[in-house]
Amino acid sequence: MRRVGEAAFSKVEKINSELFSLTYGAIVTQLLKDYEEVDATNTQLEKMGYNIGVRLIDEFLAKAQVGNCGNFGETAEVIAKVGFKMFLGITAEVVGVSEKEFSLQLPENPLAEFVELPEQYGSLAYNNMLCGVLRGALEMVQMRVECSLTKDALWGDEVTEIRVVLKEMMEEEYVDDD
Amino acid sequence: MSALSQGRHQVAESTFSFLHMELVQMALGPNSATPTTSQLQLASRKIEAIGFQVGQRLVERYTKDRPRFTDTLEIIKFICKDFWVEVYRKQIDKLQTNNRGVYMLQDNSHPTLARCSAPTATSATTAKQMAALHIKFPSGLIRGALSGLGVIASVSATIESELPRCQFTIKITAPSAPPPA
Repeated sequence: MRRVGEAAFSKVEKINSELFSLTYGAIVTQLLKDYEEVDATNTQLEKMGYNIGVRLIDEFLAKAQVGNCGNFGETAEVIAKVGFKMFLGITAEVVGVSEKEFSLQLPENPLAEFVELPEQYGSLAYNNMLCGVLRGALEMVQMRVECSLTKDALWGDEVTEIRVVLKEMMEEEYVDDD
Repeated sequence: MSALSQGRHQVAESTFSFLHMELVQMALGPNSATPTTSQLQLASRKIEAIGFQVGQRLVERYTKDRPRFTDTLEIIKFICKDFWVEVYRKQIDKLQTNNRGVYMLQDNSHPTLARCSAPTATSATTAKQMAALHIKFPSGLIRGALSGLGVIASVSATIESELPRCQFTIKITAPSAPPPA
């Protein structure tokens, strides 16, 4: 799986991650200004991530060349080793896999490269956009999930960790064109 | 040290494009399918301000190991070449100046616009307005980078009739002060 991820990453156009992380930081700052509170900012970051996930899955399926996943654990591996690699250039570790849930641990995180949370924003889920991206992308492949940031290096944790819980496998609906 | 902390790390260009699209949406706010003039103005100010912050910080990182610039033209050239390559992997295609503090930078295929749809007869206004918003980010980047190097200027962007060509006009209001003797 790791090799598939590296192959996919080698094929895409790349940019310096500084531009990306600084822009993300400026967006979070702007949201804090606009919404004036941490909870609403967390929600908004997740929503923006969702919008991204819904679009990003197309590029993923087109370029990553992965087959169908047999079970949820396999889905976790594909996200961690191919998805994260292809878009962010990092790989995640999968922990705590079961039929219905798994967690992804990020030892490095390009989003939060230059970040320290000031005290009054201690509960800011700075990386919440990642949760939204996963929810949006998985929904497009018929998996309704809930994602939450359970650990964050910015909160003083050793790693950043996202827990993904499978709520429902959605039925594919076919609609006739005419 | 990891590649990340050394600043050599890379992410996919598409990841940034996705983020940039959301930035434009965020600036427009909810209910923005047919934005009003005031919504558009507010949005373009927000996007430009974000570009400015990013430009200021990026230029600090890109110039920390190089000798001090001697004049404004050298700074402008640096933006057209090194800075633009770092950010967009291409140089500005054409630089013109009136030698009195106005510089015109032409980008024949600007990456931010490459994914915008061309205006059609039915959507000409909206497509143009949206393209004008997208171009605010690079325009802010330039103003921020200049400011980081001590040059105070105003930057405006115009979109040529055929996307993705665009032009940035820099008007210097206060040139960088010469280094103290």
